[in-house]
This record gives sequence, C-alpha cells and structure tokens, in this order.
Amino acid sequence: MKAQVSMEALLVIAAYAAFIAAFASFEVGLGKETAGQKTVFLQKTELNGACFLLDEFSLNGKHASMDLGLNESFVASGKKLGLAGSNQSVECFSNVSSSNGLRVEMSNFEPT
Amino acid sequence: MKKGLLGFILVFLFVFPLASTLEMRAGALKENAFFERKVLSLEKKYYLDLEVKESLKQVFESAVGTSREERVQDVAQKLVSWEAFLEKHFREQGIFFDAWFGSINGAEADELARRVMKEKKVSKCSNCFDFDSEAIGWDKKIVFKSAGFLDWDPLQGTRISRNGFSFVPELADLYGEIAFGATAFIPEENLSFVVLIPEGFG
Repeated sequence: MKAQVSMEALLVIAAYAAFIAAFASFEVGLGKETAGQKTVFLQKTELNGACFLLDEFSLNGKHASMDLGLNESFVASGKKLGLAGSNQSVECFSNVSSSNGLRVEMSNFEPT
Repeated sequence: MKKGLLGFILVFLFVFPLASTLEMRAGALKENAFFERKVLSLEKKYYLDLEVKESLKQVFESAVGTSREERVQDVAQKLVSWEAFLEKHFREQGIFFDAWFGSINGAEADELARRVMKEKKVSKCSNCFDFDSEAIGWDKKIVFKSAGFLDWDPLQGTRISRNGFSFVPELADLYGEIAFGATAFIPEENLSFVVLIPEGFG
C-alpha cells in the first residue's frame, strides 16, 4: 500500500514537472510578445507626443528652435513621422521634415 | 491540489502582461508629461512675444513733440530705456533677452534662433544694433540710430519705417528688410527664438 501511494505521488510530481516545463516555454513566448507590444506602444506614444509638439510648433513656433534632448532620431517626410530603426509611424497635421533636425512647415495663422 | 495548480497557472499567466502593462503606463505618462511641458514652453514664447510688441506699441504711442523729427527722436530716446527695462525684466524670470533693430529677414531670424540654441547665449543679427547706438545726423548732431528706422505722421502715428533713413545718413547704404526685434533664450526649456517686428508696425 505504501509503495502504491509513492508511485501515485511520483506520477503526479512527474506530470506537474512536465506541465511546468511546457508552461515555462509558453510563458517565455508570452513574455517576448508583451515586451514587443510594450516597445510598440511606447514608440507610438513618443511619436504622438512629438507630432503634438510639432503641430503646436507650426502655430506658435515661428523663428524658434528647441532642443528636445532625445536620444532617438526621427524620420519625417510629408505628414508622416517615424522613428529611425523602427517601422512605427504616425500622421501629423503639419508637414514635417527631418533634414538637419526636425523641422515643421509654419502655419499661416501666426502673424510675423 | 487542483486549486493550487489553477492558482499557479493564473498567477503565471497574468504576471508578465500585468508587469508589462504597468511599465507601459509609467512610460506613457512620462512621455506625455515631457511633450506637454515642451508645448507649454511655446506658450511662454507666445506671451513674451506679445509683451514685447505691446510694450513697444505703448512706447510708440507716447511720442511727444511738435514736429515729425521731434517725435521720432523722442521715441528713439525712450527705446533705450525700453530695451534696458525688458532685458532686466526677462533676466529676472531666468530668460536671456536682447532687443535690437536693424536689417533682417525671416530666414535670417530662423538662422539666428538656431545659432542661439547652439551657443546657448543670446546674440543679435549681423546688421542689427542696440537701441543706445548713436550716429551722426544730417545736421552733424549725434542722434540715436534707431531714429533712422522710425517715422511719424498725424494719421498713422509712430511706426517702423525706412523713411527714417532721412534722419541718419549712414543708413542710406542699408538694404533688405528692416525690423525691430529681440532674441530670447529660455535655458530651462532649451528654447530659443526671435521676436520679429517688421516694417509698418506701429
């Protein structure tokens, strides 16, 4: 009887260990997926913030220069703003360019 | 045993996404706060710009004298105090500020703003002068050079105009667009800009 109980316990432990091993690989995949989603989300947030600032700049930023102090480099063309080394991009309201720093086309609403 | 196993699975299933979501939230809040602050610094620029133009308008409207020349000279003299007052006023707010007048166009103003940002100190355009700059008038008397950029008539009052070149012979060679203006640098916002007040203002 004692031997039978031990065998059962062993089987349960073995099944448990097998399950954990299978689950661990699933968790690693899930971890990678969430980390990827986090990066995409933060890049999108940064791009939306930059777009917001550039749109404000087109209204109130005549003859102004601002150092954002960011490490990332932006890639911009037309209304599209993206991050170098990433395929994320957002559409701004203003026309932007990234030649010699980020630049934005000024709106005609602001007088000289 | 079954409950324990289920609990273990559930905790493990949610721990990564939950940690990641919290990290995303913190990162997004930080990013938003950063850009909101930058946008607000442009509001500072807007109000500084307005303050400079409004105070200049008040100086122009305070012109006294019996002739066009007297009124222009009066304004030119008051502009020396106006410049000193503004520079002190903005310095007290942590803003480096330099008011000037001269020959400058929009592209040069953009370039000047970039130069100030690079050098982190205010400077003026190459063909621009401080308001206490003096010159010799047609009658060989010392006049403020800024009088050469001003005009007055009963209908429009005092305004920025190259008609004033008639007061200062040495300005006759000056060409291009003329303007009054100021360079400002806000170190805590890393923002530099040029307030440009073009000919015709008044």
